[in-house]
Amino acid sequence: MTYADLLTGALALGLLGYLGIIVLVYRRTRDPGMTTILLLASYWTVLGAFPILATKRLDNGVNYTYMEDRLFTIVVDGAYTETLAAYLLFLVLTALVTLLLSRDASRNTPIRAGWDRLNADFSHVTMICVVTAITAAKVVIVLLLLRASGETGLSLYAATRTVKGDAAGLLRIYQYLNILSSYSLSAGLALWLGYRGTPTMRRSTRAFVWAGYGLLGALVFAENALLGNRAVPLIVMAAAATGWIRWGFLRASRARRGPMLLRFTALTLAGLVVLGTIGVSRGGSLTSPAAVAEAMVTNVSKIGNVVGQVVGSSEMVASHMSLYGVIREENLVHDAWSANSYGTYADLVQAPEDQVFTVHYVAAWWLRTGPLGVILAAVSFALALILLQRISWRPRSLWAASFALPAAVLPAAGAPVILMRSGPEALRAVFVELVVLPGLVCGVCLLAGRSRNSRKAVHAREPALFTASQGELHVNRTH
Amino acid sequence: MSTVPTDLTRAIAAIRRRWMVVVAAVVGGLLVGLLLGSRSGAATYEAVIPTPTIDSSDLIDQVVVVRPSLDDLLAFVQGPDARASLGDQVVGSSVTGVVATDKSTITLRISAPDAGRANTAAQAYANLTAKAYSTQLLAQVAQSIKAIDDGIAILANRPAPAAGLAFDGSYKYAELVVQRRFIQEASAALTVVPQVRPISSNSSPFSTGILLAVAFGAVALAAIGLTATRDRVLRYAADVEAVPGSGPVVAVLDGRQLGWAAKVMLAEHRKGGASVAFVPSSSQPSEALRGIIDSWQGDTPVVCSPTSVLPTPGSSCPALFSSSRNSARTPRTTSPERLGPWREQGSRTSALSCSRRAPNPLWGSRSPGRGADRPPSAWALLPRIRVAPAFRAPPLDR
Repeated sequence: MTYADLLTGALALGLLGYLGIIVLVYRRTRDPGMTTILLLASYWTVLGAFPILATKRLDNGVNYTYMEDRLFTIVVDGAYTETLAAYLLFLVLTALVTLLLSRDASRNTPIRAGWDRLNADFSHVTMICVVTAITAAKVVIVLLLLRASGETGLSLYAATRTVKGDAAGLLRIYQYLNILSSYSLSAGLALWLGYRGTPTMRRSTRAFVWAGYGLLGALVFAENALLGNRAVPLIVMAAAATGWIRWGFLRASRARRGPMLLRFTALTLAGLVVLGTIGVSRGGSLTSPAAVAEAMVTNVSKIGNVVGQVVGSSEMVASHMSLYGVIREENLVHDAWSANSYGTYADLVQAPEDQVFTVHYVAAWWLRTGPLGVILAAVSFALALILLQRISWRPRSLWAASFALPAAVLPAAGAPVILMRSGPEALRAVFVELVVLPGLVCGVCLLAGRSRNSRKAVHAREPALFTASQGELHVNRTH
Repeated sequence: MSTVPTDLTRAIAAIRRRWMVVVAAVVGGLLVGLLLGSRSGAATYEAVIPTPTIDSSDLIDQVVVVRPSLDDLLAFVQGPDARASLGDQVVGSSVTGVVATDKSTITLRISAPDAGRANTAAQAYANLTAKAYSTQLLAQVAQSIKAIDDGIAILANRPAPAAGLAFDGSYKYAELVVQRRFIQEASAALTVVPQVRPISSNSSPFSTGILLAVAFGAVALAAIGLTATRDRVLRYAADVEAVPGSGPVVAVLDGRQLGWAAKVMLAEHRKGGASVAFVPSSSQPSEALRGIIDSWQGDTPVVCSPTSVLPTPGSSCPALFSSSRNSARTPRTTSPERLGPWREQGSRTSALSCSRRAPNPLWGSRSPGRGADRPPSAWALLPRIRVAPAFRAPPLDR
């Protein structure tokens, strides 16, 4: 048994314990979103260690990923063991703090009524109209960005990665519009998939909502695929899945769950293929939409490429290796007030300018406070999750319901995507992008829905102008 | 009514009860890590071999570069021939290398089971690479000088040039002479000195210990917590209240040898006025139950037990049940049906399956006022009565 084997075993054991604690968290919160967050956190934290350890188990000098050539070589040594211990401690502490401080669903059974009322008040038609308007503005900006990237000669992916150059302003506006439209859409879609509207909804309205969500969802995927952006489709898919599980699957009878699970598994696999196809069809010489589309068609037909991209993606390795890059520095100077973890880390490891990489949340905290950063990272991450849970806890008032809906579904993949690949400065983005901005759109939809419902109620209370009896029409005198 | 304990309450209480297990797991992990970490002394050394070139440019700015193929050299160093030539120095080690993107260095990484062997192997590989590079470079230098000499000889031996062209020939001649001298001087001054340094000298027993301590601790915490949420032991007043059957009780006692818990339970029932009767294992439970129902007289608790354990009391009391080996599973599905008649009479009923180690209530029906006539303290006297799934809180409705 080599030393790498020992570390692999220890890591697998630790992950087993972590999974057990996640089960406890689920039993306490009954929240599929929170469970997904904790599960996905391990993807960016420690899953990258397994292929690295497997590659280096016999020969420490072999590089697993091209990122080792570009940034630094990982050697399975004391610093790497320290990295794994820090990551494992982070995961376990996060799960434990979440377990201890999260709200207990068993003591709050009337929650369902709040969500039922939110669903009754929510106007999906308004959501589709608002998102369509935002999407129209976004499409214009995308066209401008495509023209700008054509002039630079960069691939669409590279040209829209960083906010700089002449198109910086446009890109920033596009990013916010993308958040506003895609995330709001996924919050509405999650509610729709979970509830499928209300029993009194007309068939034509139902068909319109299905078509609207379908078209806008397809547009979100197409647009992000064009620009090589995997994060937004992942967040959208996870949010929709969370809503479906929360309000649909978990409420279904046992007999219905079997076929539902089958469909869900098939859709999840399809989602992974989509993400893999986007990942393998970006960058390089793909400088035009036609080139990206052609690459996607080619890659989808070669499913092996897509599977290879999903399995061998450097996504999980890039953030995982960042803490090792920090720990191995013997003369590390801590900057507690660093505003940009990415920049600090890039300077530390002397990263080439053309290399896109990520820095893990724990690494960013370690850069600021040293080993204490592991505890601070775990506590702050867990507190963020608990705060999100509290926001989504009881959607009673219009104000609370507006933010409860996005907070219930969007962080499922959004929180780990944002936080596990950045520093504590990203905490603000979690709440602004995943709760506040989509919450504003959801608020409009709830306002419209309540207004519609109150009109209906008034209409129902009012006596009719005319009544018909025995084939004759009578005018009601009360009017 | 007392407060219902949550899963977290149960988990924390279980961890408090078994904190020694968690501590033992952490300490155990630490010790195992220290032990295994100290045994694994794998080390990696890095050797950086500079690959200088001799560049000279002629008067029309044509660059002449003398440089051996670095990729071929790297392939040689990593190949079996190099390993064979180095012999014992590199036994047990592995080597990988990369050529710098600007071709200025070759970097080798040599790993071995311990630092000493890694260092020795790294030095050997570095020296071999440096020597091979120097040899190839000097060979190319010699070839270049020979080519220049040939050029000089051609210029010296060619016929006298026509008028007006003499200047060009002598210029070229001078250029070749200068180039030859430059290459000769540069090659004489050329030295390839590799640098070897450790990049990983040990596997750090302490960090290995920390890793394993966290891993073992996490598993222990999760195991205790999960076990606690599935615990069937009555630990809280609410648990006792959740067990319907403070009145008539039907017990299914499983196994030939009853544990102390079952005996205590039966003794407690008998103290409380219960009648205990015994049914041979070959009896059909449903028939026996029918008989009990027919002769049942009211509030007398009913307990049964296999004949092998307790003495048979009077034959007048209602009783049942099977002690067959499979009875632990059988009542789980059939008890509601069997006890249906009792439920119709509004009685508080339950079925208890006593495993060898602990009695296990499997099924029951609630009725108004349950528990009112039997304080929790009385039930608390029955240690290790386990609450079966049927008694657990219904799934949350969110």
